[in-house]
Amino acid sequence: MKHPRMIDAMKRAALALPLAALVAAGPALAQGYKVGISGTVTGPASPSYLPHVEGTRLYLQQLNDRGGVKGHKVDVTFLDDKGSPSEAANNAKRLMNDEQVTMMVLMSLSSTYQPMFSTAARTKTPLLLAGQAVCPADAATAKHNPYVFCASSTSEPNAAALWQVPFVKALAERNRQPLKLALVATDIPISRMGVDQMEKLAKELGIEVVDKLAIPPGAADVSGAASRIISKGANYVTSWSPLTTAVQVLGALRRQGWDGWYVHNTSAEAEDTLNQLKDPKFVMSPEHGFTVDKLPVYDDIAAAVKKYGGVSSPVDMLGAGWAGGMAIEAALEACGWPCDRAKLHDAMYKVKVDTKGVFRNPIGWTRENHAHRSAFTAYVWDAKSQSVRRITEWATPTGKPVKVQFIQ
Amino acid sequence: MSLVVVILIQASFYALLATGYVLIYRSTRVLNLAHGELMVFGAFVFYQALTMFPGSPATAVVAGLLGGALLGALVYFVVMRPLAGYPVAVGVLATIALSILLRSLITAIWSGQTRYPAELLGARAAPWDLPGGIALTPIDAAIVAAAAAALLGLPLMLQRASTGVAMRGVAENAVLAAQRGINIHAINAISWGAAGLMATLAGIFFAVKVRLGPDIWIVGLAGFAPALIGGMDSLRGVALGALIVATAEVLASRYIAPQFALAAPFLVLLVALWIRPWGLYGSREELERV
Amino acid sequence: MSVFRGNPGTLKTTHAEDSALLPTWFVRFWAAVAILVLLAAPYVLNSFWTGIVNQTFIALIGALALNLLMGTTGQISLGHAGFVGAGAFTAAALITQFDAPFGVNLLAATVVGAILGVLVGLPALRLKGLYLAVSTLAAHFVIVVAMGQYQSSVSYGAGFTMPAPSFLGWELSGERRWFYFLLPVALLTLLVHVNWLRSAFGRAWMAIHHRDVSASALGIDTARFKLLAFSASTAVTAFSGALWGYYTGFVSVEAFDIHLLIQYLAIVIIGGLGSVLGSVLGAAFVMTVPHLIARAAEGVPALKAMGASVFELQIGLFGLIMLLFILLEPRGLAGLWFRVQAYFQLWPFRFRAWER
Repeated sequence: MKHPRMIDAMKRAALALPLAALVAAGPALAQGYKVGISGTVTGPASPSYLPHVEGTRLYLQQLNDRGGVKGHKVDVTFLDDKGSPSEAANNAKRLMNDEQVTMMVLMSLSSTYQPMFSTAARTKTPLLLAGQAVCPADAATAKHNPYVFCASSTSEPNAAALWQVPFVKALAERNRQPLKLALVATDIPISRMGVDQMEKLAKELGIEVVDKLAIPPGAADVSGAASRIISKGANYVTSWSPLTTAVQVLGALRRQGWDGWYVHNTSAEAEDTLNQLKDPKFVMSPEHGFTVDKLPVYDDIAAAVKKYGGVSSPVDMLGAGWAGGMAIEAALEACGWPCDRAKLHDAMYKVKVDTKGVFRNPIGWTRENHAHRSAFTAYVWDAKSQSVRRITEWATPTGKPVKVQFIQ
Repeated sequence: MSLVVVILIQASFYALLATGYVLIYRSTRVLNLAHGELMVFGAFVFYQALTMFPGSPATAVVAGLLGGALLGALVYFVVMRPLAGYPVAVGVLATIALSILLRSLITAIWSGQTRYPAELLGARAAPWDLPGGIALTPIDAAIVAAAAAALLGLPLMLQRASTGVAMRGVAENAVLAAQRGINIHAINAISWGAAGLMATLAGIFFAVKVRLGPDIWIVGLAGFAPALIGGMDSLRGVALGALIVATAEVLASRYIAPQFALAAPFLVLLVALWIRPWGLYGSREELERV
Repeated sequence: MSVFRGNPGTLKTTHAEDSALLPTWFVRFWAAVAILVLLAAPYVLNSFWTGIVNQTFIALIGALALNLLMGTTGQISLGHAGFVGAGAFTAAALITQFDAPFGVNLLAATVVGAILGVLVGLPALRLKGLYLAVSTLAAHFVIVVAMGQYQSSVSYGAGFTMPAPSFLGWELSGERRWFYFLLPVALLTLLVHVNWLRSAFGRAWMAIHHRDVSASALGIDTARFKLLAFSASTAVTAFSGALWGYYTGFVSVEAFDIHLLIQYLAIVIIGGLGSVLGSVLGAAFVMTVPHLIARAAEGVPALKAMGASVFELQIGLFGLIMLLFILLEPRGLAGLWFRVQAYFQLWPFRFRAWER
């Protein structure tokens, strides 16, 4: 006689078999979305781009833990391009040509753009510029590369100038001081371009520009440049450059007794730097929200850092990368399953991502406009409250200089 | 602010770096292109100690200096000692390879983020207003004082202290010194350690004055131009070399354009090498030592 | 093995046989195999790896030039990156101003390189060793600043986009076409280089390297040959720079920095200073191994958890490899090759001859 327990066991085994078959076939069935990410993770420019790569990676990690996009995991390959065009070309070949990723994400220097963009156009792969990758000037025009989409925290220099220059003018008016402006760039092409934009706009707005300088990227000491700015009588200085140049020039100016205002453009390390320098006349014009605004999204980021680790940047630098991850998720979700490049490209126009405060305006594109409409604001260190404070309302430039509204 | 003061401060900083290059050259006859990394490493050890012992900056400084000195001595034993007798080119290339290795280790340990140790030290004091419209911050005054102490103290040590005399002996003729019973490996290790210490000192000053990050290695590299112009094996030449380079850089930056601040030291170097290849106070025979 | 040099056992009866590049059947056979493998390669490798081989060819041309100057003639030159850039910028400038064709640009780049070489080589007549190295480094910075000023003023800062060149009516786009163009160009450069070394020029350069005072005493015009070495080296370097510019499709001053110099130095050090085989092995090593390490690292989950530091450590590993070669095998991969060859050649004897 068969033992009853044995019969039960056999029944259970009979049930278990198809289940086991399903589990075994599981990986083959639930294939993921293939996404490739190339970033400037090492090299001299990496402090500007590494936090964003880490932010995106974190977001995708917790996304996959949640089950992925509609049950399908996102299979990401992160590659380092060292900020060099030839490495970027190699990464483009590997990811877009050989591994046939459905979506490509780029978080690098503008010198990597040409090889990346042309490969994206040739292989018809949607390419997302995320993190702090500067949006190219033609993205908002009809001449844009149809496969490049901007979701980054740095607009192209024209848009930035439309905020920064009116802001400096408004700040001087608020302080009831005459405005003698000096412009500072780093001696790299993109920064000089940005400062040239600002000079043009400043002249249009009737601002007196007393000096325009380009500082070499590896300069050991900028006291000479600082003394030149002081000798020209500038009381306001603004820059569109990597943060290191701004900090160096500001430091040199202060050491020589200069007491003016310094306004800098967006940067990943903006909040962190304001907290460390504690200079009450150093203003940052970021395109992303700071943690001091008590945005819940930063709590999410902090929780993810705690859970997954492997991140070297502080939480206040991970926002734009996290938002990039949100954009990736939204795009893949809009594409559905199965997803191929052509389908994804069409789906990009259905994307509308609310980044929960990291960016003021939602990320979304139209066939005519692939840029990200950034909003700008200003933060400064407030000595009274011993913390960073936002001093203006958010403003989105739409082709003309903005109207700056100060808080309180 | 008076340009003279700006130049003086800049020259003092360069002098601190250049003494390190000269000390190394005198002992192992190599241009140490990893000097920037010695500087960064020592500065990071200082920063690390500062975060671990917030109350005592002195401990942090000592820890940093010690760290830099130890790294210098370690580099001598591991890299330079096995290469004794090889041509200069090999040594220089070895230091280049070492710089890549050290830089990536530093970034892997401490990450590429920029730090501002001045905050931890509370050292953001306002500049003193001196007569003549000169504004001088305490940190700048400290740099000038340190450079003066080094430029006066080191030659004194080389003249009087027995270790110093031994160092001079090794610098002049290492083989003969060894025959006379001087432990040249110990002396060279001390030289490299001293160079690491000087580099760290410069690094700590820069970190407090401007910022700290793995990318500031390029600042350390700027120190070799003053050393070369003064004479790679001459401590006496360091002061003059540093002054010349600082003057060229500040004046070019102030009156021409800041972009040329990077090229100015090298143009001066080219001119100096053309006129007087062995430096202002260097020994002539250095030329033939290939 | 005796199969390489053909002695003893192989009888050479004419000067031509003695000085042949491929003296024995063994060498000829394996050379043919190598050529066949290379010809088939683009159809076996995917576009990424074909691209890597293309980059190796370009790097080889530049490395041969650097090795000529540093290894054969013994003149330390740290200005290499500047010369590569000068070649690329010459091509870019000619396209921008005159829309000049491919062949003209390559030629112009070579000529500009030669002229720069003479200028930079002039200090070599007075300086040696360390001081020469520094003056070439200074030249690098001067060249780079000049290129940067040109770029900012002409292209409005963004850099120059290079069109796909057309060679003999055949458009060079895509990795395969570039491969079949670069392979003969690299081989030709290799042949020219080997012949230079075997000629009176090569002998003069080696003499200058060993002891230029003695060379001068033997009647060799050291000034002329030093300038010739610089000039030849920088001409070929600029040529490789122009090729690089066309291949990458984009020329911007930031690409020609100290990191490029270090890459070339790594190639000649790891390959072996003064050895043609060293240039080949070094170029192959430096261009492929970092990618192999990266792929290997991707497969290890523990490394993935470390985040971005992995990339940093890979670069550090590269520096470590370079350092280890300098410390342990200063003759580089070529030295390792000769060591292995000598072992088999002299077995069962243990005496090893280092001079080759």
